Amino acid sequence: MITKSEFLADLISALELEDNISMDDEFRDYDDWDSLMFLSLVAYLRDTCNLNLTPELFETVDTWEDIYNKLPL
Amino acid sequence: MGRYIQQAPAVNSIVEAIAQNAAKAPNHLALRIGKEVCTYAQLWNLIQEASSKMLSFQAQSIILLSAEKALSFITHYFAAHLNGLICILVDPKLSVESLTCITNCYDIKAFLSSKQHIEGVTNIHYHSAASGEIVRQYQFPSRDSIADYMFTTGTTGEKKCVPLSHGNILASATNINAFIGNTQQDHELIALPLCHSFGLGRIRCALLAGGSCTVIPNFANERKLLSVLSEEGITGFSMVPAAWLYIRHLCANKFIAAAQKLRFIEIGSAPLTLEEKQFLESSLPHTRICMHYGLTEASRSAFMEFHADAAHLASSGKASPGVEIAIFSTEGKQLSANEPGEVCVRGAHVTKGYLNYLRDDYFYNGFFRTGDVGKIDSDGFLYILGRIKEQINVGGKKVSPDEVEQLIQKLPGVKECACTAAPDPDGILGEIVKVHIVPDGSTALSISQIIQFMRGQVEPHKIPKIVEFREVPLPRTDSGKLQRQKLR
Repeated sequence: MITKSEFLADLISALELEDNISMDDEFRDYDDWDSLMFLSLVAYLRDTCNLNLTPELFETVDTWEDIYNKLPL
Repeated sequence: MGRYIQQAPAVNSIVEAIAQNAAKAPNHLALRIGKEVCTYAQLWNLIQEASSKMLSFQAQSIILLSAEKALSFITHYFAAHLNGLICILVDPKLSVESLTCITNCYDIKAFLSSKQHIEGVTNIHYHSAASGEIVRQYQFPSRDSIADYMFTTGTTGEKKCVPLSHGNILASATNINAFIGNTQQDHELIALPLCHSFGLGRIRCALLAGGSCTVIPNFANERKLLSVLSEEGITGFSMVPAAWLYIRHLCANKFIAAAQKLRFIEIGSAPLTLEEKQFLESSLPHTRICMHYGLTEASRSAFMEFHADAAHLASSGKASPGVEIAIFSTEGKQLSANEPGEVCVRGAHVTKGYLNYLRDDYFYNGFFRTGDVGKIDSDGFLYILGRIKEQINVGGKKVSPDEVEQLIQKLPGVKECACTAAPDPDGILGEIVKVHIVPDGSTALSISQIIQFMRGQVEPHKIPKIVEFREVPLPRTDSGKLQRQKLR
């Protein structure tokens, strides 16, 4: 399974985030969090992590850690 | 015309309207942005204080402002207008390279931002201490003086500069308020970016009417959006179709429940499907849902209201109050009802012409040529049938194919490149950027390499989501002009 540091590195690349993000970040509070970034996240999780980020699932997550914990083993 | 009562404003600019509203209702809430809250009296004082930082600049000097979602941006923007300066608003995400490109093309006297600096330009930090004093009597700008330089995303490779006068902006806001009917009692939630004319335009409309605005960072934080929307007193909301599709995807039921009390919603900047219009119309029976058609050069030229115009939802509505729309042939002849041709617009809100371009090339008999193909039916409803332009609309943000192509062409290994729109497979953004590349074989090219190369050089929405490599040359006319339509 992908490690947390690999997960963060992937997110920085896929979502074009600044490189000082942490697993505890509440991503919705990012200044530049927008629908384009959301779609990039959906695509990254679907294509790389085999996770379907449904609206129901998205409602239950606040932080990167929460999403990481939903990744299939 | 004639559907709504429109009163001629007693002021010549939005900043004058703010001053007038501050005198009439000093304690009325004007803006709430994050933790910053101000009444009209406080806003007017902040504008006057901020203007003191800019007294050294001569009237009609050009300044660059980073359109951040902060009270300081709003106050400095109107302070610049109070001092007679011309504003160029930039996306806070714009790279330093792109900013420098603007400063190389225009005689920029200062850059106002809280985050970035540009070498060789006077940098004014939004949060630097203001004098706190009102140092002179102000002369409000005239309707003819230029307020803003906006930029269109053309297809010729060069962005055209659109000068908008205080009269243009005031007329536009007056027309919009006449159609939507917003008043001092309205309190609008604004999640749109302020670097685009729709978002800042909503603030102008509210401040002209003496109403209140709550500004939140974006639509994407759906929890924040729903929480503010549900608050007591919010009566208005504005969104682009991509934002609605995002909301519908994530939280349609909660949004519809919270939006029942809204008096109005304004939608615009991109088309919305008939099905989405019908869904909103049936879901929000008591809300005026107003959708506009317009462009930077002629903001909100047409409007429709989903309930009143339910039989014409496939149209783009009728000419806004104070606006004339006509269809012209390629020979410049005005056409009759139902005849397709170029959509042209006339009114006080229309720019007088592009900077450094001949006016006659863009006007027919005083009507501005939009570059859109359309027709007007016998009831006066405008139907947009296509675009003469080839710009791409990514969730309401426009992309010039030339800008993307010219950048990718700099990448080693690229022989030819074309940029077109492709439908967004997730169905939220409407269109996404696709590039077609013919490699020259000198070096291996990959999608990730192209994306990496573009990052930081253009805004994120301009980075292609689809890259198609081709072995055959790109389609071109006999004269060598790229035929993008054949690639779509």
